[in-house]
Amino acid sequence: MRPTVSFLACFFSLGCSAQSVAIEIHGTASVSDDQFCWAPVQSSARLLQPSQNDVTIVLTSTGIDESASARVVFQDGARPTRAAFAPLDSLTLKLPKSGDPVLFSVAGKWTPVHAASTRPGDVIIQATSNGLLVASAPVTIRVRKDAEALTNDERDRLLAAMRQLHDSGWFNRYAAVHDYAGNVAHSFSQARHVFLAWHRAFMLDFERRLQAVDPSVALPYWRFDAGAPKLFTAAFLGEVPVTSPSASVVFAAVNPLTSPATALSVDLGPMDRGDLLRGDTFSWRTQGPYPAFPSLPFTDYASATDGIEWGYHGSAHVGVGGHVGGPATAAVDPLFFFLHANVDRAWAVWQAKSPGALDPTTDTGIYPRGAFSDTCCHPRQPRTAFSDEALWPWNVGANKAVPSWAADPGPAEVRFAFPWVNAYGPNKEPVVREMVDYMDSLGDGGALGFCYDEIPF
Amino acid sequence: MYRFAIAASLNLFSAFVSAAEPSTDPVATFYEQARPQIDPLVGRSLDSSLPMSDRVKAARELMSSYPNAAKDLWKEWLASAPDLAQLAVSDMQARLFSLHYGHAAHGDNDGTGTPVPVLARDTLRELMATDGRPAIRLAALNALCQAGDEAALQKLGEEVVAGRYQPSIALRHLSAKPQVGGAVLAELAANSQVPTTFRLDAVKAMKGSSAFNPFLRKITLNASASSTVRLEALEVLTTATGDTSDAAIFVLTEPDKETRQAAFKILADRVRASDGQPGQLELLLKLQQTNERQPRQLRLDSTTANSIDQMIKELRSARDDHDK
Repeated sequence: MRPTVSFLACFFSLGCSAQSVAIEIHGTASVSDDQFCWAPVQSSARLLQPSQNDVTIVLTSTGIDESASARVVFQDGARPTRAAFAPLDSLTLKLPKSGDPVLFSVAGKWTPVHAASTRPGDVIIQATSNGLLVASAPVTIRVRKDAEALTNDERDRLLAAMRQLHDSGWFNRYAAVHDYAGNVAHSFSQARHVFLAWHRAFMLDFERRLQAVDPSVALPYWRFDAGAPKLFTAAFLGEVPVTSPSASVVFAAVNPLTSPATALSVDLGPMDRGDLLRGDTFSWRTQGPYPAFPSLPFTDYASATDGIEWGYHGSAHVGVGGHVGGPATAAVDPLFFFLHANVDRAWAVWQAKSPGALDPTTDTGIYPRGAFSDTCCHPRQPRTAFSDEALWPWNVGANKAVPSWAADPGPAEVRFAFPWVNAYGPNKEPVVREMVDYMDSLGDGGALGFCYDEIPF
Repeated sequence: MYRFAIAASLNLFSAFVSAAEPSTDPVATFYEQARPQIDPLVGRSLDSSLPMSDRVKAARELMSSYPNAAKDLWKEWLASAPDLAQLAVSDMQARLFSLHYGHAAHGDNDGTGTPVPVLARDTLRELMATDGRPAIRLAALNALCQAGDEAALQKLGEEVVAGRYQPSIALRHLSAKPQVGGAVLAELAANSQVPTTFRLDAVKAMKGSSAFNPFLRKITLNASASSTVRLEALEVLTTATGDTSDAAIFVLTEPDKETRQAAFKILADRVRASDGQPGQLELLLKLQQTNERQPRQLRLDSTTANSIDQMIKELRSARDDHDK
């Protein structure tokens, strides 16, 4: 609960009945979920105690200081779809004297400059009544950014969270999942169209666990079609010094990925326990392994997933080499997640410019649709991911059959519950089609809670 | 000639489309519908009367937007100008990531049943081995090494010895794939035809993964390797494993006095660095006893033996203090 009540408001505006206003982001009193991106989130405001009269408030936003340029926008009523999205910089609400909540939506302000937060809680939502402040709420506009654009503070918070995940064994666990998912994530039967959807869930799992450590961080992306002079340094994701004959990645002493005793290490069993290895990356400071961002002319999901995976995605993996160069070991390196965030961004860019690409009921949105059956499918695509099936390895619920397209459930260490938040409750098993409309532009309640810095709602 | 090539490419492409099921496969449908965009790009990429920049631009657009069509042009691009041949190599390199999955299909290539990643790998291997253009041979070798291809990493050793490949880049490739690269590095380190500096760098490249340890051990025991290289391997191995057993074996079996003393220094440094770690005292006692049982001519020199005695005293004293 966050009633921030001005004494003056009590005294002059609302009377001395100790009125206070609660602003509840995501409709919850908790402040731990007060992050959102360009997509609107359902919120509410209410009087905390019954009043003699209804109270009119005006919602606006400001920065925590002069350097904070992010702002939010508001819209009255239930959360809008993209088609109905018409946000305002300022919103007037009449709060009933009964204390019942009044719904509104809030989102990061996209125009004219889509600035996101650079510090936790650097945007302040203010409620005024008769010109006097009656409530304020610090919020964070949390979006996935180009890794090169992170401030040093953002970078360091991210690295500290990643270190905790590493120390909890998650990188090795993710590597095992990615390895085991060979038949699923990179299912190379004739149609392996789950590639984009499965990796979106995988990135979200990683991001949610980072956010469990530090709610202000978001997963950045590595634009591997451009130079990345900041990313491949000892202060960020590490470097392989030009003069070193070894492919071992080196971190700066102050980098959270290096502890006093040991650098970030990998543990893939007795035959490969040691440093992160990358065959190349120093050259990627000035140019990426792929010449340019693809033009993405695809007219449907299946073509898009093929087109993005083949050249664009593959060139980055092979270009880096070392652990990232092999599917079985790729996810031990934090760079893997930056790489795949960019692959996911490519899907999101294509979705933003392709009519119908966010609609999971059409071939443009996802393919193949429905559920697997022995009689449904062409002999050359006997095992693929269908839109209505739960994604491995998160399909851990009781009495749940393993999807027909997964080889087998896999060992226990590669099966775990998905750390869902927002629209989905805990222990939600992600379904293929739910990965499509990630900002819930169609309004079916399935926002995944992430956005990219340069893709509006 | 290019007209023939275009016709050949389009035939390949048509074969791809017809091999799939147009009614059920949206990818095939996409390519069928995109032919008005694809065909001119194919034509431009192969039109030798156009400026090279235009041809490269068309080829890149195909790679980026129509990868199914691009893969069918590899042969034509490879047979064409160097810039296009390099693009073909880049496109093949990108497909190699999928190769690691045993049954990788990624779409049959023009109905022959060969998965595209396998086709890419085999074509690159062929280029690496036989292409008459050094730049293309090198590009193919680089692409395969970057992907950790075993055949390419083994070839890399030969190329370095022959002076055809930049040693520093070779070491990174080999270091990044310990299971395959370790054997090649061990051979390079022991090869007297290779400059000493590079042999030492080959050993240093084996830092970073325990998978290198067996290869490092092999170097320390390789009598044909130079003592400098063997000692460097011992240093890297001892640091990696954190124990002294390899150094103890080296000291006891090394006939050359100077080399033996240098090895003992590595052992002594590790014992001191271990700060009384359990087992170090026992190891030194064993070393002392074994030395005393050796024939006189094989025993450690008095300086080394005295050092062992001194370290044993220090460790005993430290242990006694700890026990008090």
